[in-house]
Amino acid sequence: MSLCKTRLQEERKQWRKDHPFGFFAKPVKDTDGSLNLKVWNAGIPGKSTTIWQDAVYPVTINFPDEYPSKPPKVKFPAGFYHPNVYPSGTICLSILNEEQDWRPAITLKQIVLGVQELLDSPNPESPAQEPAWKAFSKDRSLYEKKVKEQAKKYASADHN
Amino acid sequence: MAQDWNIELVVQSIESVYSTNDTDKIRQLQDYLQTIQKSESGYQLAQLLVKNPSKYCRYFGALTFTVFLNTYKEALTHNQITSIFDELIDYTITLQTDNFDSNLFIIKKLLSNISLLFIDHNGMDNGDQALLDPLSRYFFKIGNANANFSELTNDQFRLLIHLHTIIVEDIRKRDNTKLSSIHQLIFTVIFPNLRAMYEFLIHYDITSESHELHKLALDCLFAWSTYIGMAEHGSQISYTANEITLQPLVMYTFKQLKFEDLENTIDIVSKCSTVLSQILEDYPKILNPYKPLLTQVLFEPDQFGVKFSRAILNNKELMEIYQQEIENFADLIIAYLNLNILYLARNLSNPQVLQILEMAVSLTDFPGNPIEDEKLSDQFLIFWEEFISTFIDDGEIMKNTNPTLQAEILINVGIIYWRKCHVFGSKMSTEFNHFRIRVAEVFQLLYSLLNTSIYSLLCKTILDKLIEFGSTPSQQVSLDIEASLYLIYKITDDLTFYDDESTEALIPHIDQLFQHGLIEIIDQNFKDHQINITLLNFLSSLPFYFKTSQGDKHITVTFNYLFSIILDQPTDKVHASQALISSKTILKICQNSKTKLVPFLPQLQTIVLAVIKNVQFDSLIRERLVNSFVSIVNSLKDPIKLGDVISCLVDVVLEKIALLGPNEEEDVRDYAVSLLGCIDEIAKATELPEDLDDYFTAEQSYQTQAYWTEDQHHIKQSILKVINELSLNYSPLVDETLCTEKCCHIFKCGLSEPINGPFKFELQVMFNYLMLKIQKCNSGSVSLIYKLIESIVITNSIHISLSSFEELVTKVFIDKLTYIQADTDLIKSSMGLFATVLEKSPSLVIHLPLFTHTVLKFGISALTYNETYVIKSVTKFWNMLLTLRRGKSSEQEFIRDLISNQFIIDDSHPLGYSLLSSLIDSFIDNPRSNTEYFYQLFRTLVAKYPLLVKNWLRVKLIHKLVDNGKFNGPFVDQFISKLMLTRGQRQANEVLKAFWLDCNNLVEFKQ
Repeated sequence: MSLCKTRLQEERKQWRKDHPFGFFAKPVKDTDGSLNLKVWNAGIPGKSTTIWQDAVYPVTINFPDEYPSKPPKVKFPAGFYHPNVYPSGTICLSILNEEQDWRPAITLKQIVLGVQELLDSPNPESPAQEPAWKAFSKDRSLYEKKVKEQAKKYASADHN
Repeated sequence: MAQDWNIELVVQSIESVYSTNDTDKIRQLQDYLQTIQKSESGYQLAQLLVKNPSKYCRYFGALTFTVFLNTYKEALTHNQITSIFDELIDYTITLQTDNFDSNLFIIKKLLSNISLLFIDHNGMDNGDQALLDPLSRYFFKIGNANANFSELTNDQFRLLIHLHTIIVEDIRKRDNTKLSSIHQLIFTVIFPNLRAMYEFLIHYDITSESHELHKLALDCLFAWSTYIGMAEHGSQISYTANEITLQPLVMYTFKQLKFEDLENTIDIVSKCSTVLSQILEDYPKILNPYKPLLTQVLFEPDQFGVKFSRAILNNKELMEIYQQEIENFADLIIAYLNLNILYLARNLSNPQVLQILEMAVSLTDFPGNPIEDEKLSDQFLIFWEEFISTFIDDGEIMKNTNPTLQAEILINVGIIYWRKCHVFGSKMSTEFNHFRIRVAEVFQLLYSLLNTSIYSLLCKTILDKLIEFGSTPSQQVSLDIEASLYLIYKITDDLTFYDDESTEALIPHIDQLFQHGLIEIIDQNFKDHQINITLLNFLSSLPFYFKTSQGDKHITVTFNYLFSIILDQPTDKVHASQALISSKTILKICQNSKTKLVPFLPQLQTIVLAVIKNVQFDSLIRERLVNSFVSIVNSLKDPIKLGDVISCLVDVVLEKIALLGPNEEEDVRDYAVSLLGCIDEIAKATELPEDLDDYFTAEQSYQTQAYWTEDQHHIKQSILKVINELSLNYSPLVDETLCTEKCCHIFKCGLSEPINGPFKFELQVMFNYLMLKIQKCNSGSVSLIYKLIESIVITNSIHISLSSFEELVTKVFIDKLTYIQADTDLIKSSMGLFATVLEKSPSLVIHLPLFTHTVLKFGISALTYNETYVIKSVTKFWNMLLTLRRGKSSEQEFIRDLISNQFIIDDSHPLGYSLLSSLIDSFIDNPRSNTEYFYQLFRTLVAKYPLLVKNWLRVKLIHKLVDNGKFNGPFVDQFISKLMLTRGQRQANEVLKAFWLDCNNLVEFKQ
């Protein structure tokens, strides 16, 4: 079995055993009904007491063949409003960058927690999209309004 | 300063550190004390302090020994080391004799120093004796040279156990790759004594006097159980190769697991459980030879485990008093189960396995409400999840498993968790919510294994309870229904997540619930908050069901229920969230089942109009309902009906706008933006698909085109009126970026439509609007306006007349130049706009006088900025101009002439030189992270104008770098030659990078 697959099976086991509250992560199913461990759908809850709260934001996690030597690509839906998310939805985060802080020991749990942290702590030094970055830097009330509107769009049932 | 200290002052300082709350003072005193501790006098100070009457000073003395030993580790001679070693043992004995319990924290620190010396300065002498042997020295000093445990006093014994514990705990903190010889030493010097100690302890009964000692002995075993694995990984030493080696330690632990006199020994039993769990989880190899014994002790009748679990399950008092101890016991059982999970799954029919699982099931069913009264059901969740997964993941196990027995056991577990996930109390705690989600995950796994049998069982419970409620309504029935509904919602939601055919099997079961009046009964009888939330969530997972012929019969009642939640005007956060989920569910159902919902249009229209008119509704809900409604109307493909509906909605919006007044309160502003949002949703819901031929018949296409061309109800004008009224005339929104965003999006929706439609406006109409809007907007809106112009150019350039475009550019750019130049964002946006025009339709601008007079100069000055976005945008502009991919040959010539011959920026150089000159200045000044954005522009210049660029570069660089003495001529020539040799190919990047590094006195860091 490839290193990638072995590691992903371990990640799945660990996730089942212990995952942070409010998050979910599941491998997708292939057309034949079998699980495709290299593509996961996950949900990142916004932290409470932040403008991201009361919503679970969907991400897709694509693991390359070279995983864990190379990091997975984590994407929100296209057009997701956040200064460090590209218009395609790809997340710009140092722990997901092979050239920066990615290490093979980083777990799925650490990745999703890292993305959750990024939501309310954007890095204005690494802008990935103009609208959210500009609003975050220059018009904070517009930024907050747009984020809250987005949170309503992804309002979650399990937070009731 | 370190030489100036005196003991009185130090003692005073130590006392102050422990008595004051002033953090500044504490920091100051600590600095003072640390300086002395680290000085050569540290040792002398430690000796004085450890004898001081004050406990704080004695502890500080022990601490000072640590600082001294670490600071002068390399400088100490062998004699000094042995002398300090002996001295520390003496102090320890003195403190132990004085008052063991009161001095314990100081003794532990001193023992840690002894351990430090043992680890850092040890080895074997020629006679195979350890250089430092704390145990034999200790026994010698207390006059027990034969190490006879029976002669030890209780305090001496306790000290000894502490020493055994601290040494391995300290080693655990170190890097295991460098400890091989230490592990050897521990095995040779310490372990034999430890082993002998447990050989003695095994026969040492638990009495009130020895109670504490046994607890310490178990703590010591805990430390050793974590250390042994470390030692075996980090050296050749083996504790586990021979089962005799660890026998006294293991047998001692087993001996403490006894049921008799439980009230007096439960804390010891609990510690035993912790030690054994730790071993099973961390290094089960230790217990391998004792596995049958462990199984026997835990699971055989009349043995400890069975007696203990029976006792705790049947005695409420025990349950309440010994919660932590019971949880530790459960952890031990779970650790055992996890370790043997494959064996258990493969041997379900084995009576012993059944016995083991029976205990697991009993403990899972521990009495009380989960989380609040008991934690065992929560602890066991992980095991059951793993256990079920074992069957799912391992096909081999499934082949040899008795399916009836398997289902019986697992359904039994399911029933327990069904009971456990019943809501209790007035408000659900976050922890209990978490527990319910994890229970639901177990049910999702159960569904994967047992398929619809578990789903139908849950549905049957609901049906039975609905019937029962009819005859004997009770709160319990409502809780039962809620729990089942919650679990089928979670299973359904999990299956719909994969968006495949797997939900088909659920339809008959769901349909039965609807046929038996699920919604009606809950809606009419249960005002209970949670069951309504759960029902709503369940409905939100069912759009696939409403698409079916069975489901569409129940849409009316579903919609009534969903709309009642929205129309209930939520006042708190939870209700607001329910209303949002309700609106999302309606939207999903409408988008999935458009044609089936046509009969609902009259009712929907009434509701949608009411929601538009009411300022209190949430904007997103309002907009979702408008989209839902218009989507259904649009599915009729009847332009007349669509026109009537849009006309009606827009008229209502206009009515509301007329009533707005100059109110600037935020909720009114939000409502006004939401009215625009409604128009935007109409635009989204009526957008035509790309492949029109597959969507419309020729007749429908013709009718639509004709209807909207004629537009006899002047709907487009009304839409424009909404836009104008809100974004140009309603002062609170004029400077609102969100308002501009919505307006621009409305226009954008119609741009690519292949035939006429409600949002396909004349270009001039949009230009007129934009020319007005630019006069009345904030800076955040300008880039949105420019983006819309870019979209118009991309989609409709062939329909744009030069004169109208010139007028537009004059109004939105030339007339606003001063304003734009003051804001880097606007500089970036305007450069982006012109770059797009040059890329898609250069003829629209390149011959305009304003382009040569103003835009090009603007483009040169924009190069002086260091912001990444500006640089990206401005270099793209110049690249587009130089390449002019969509330009005619005459236009290409025109640009070539501009670059080579026209003196636009200054009177002495052509435009090309001015561009190159500013480019060089900007390139050198920009940070390294921006340099990559310049490469392509340099390369385009080199490739297109090699001779001119060569000369211009030389003139510029001599002036910039050589005249001021920074570089010499040959350096410049060499750079130019290298760059020209690349002919603008990719290698130019490296040449430019090296040049930038040289100019900034930096070197490339190579990994």
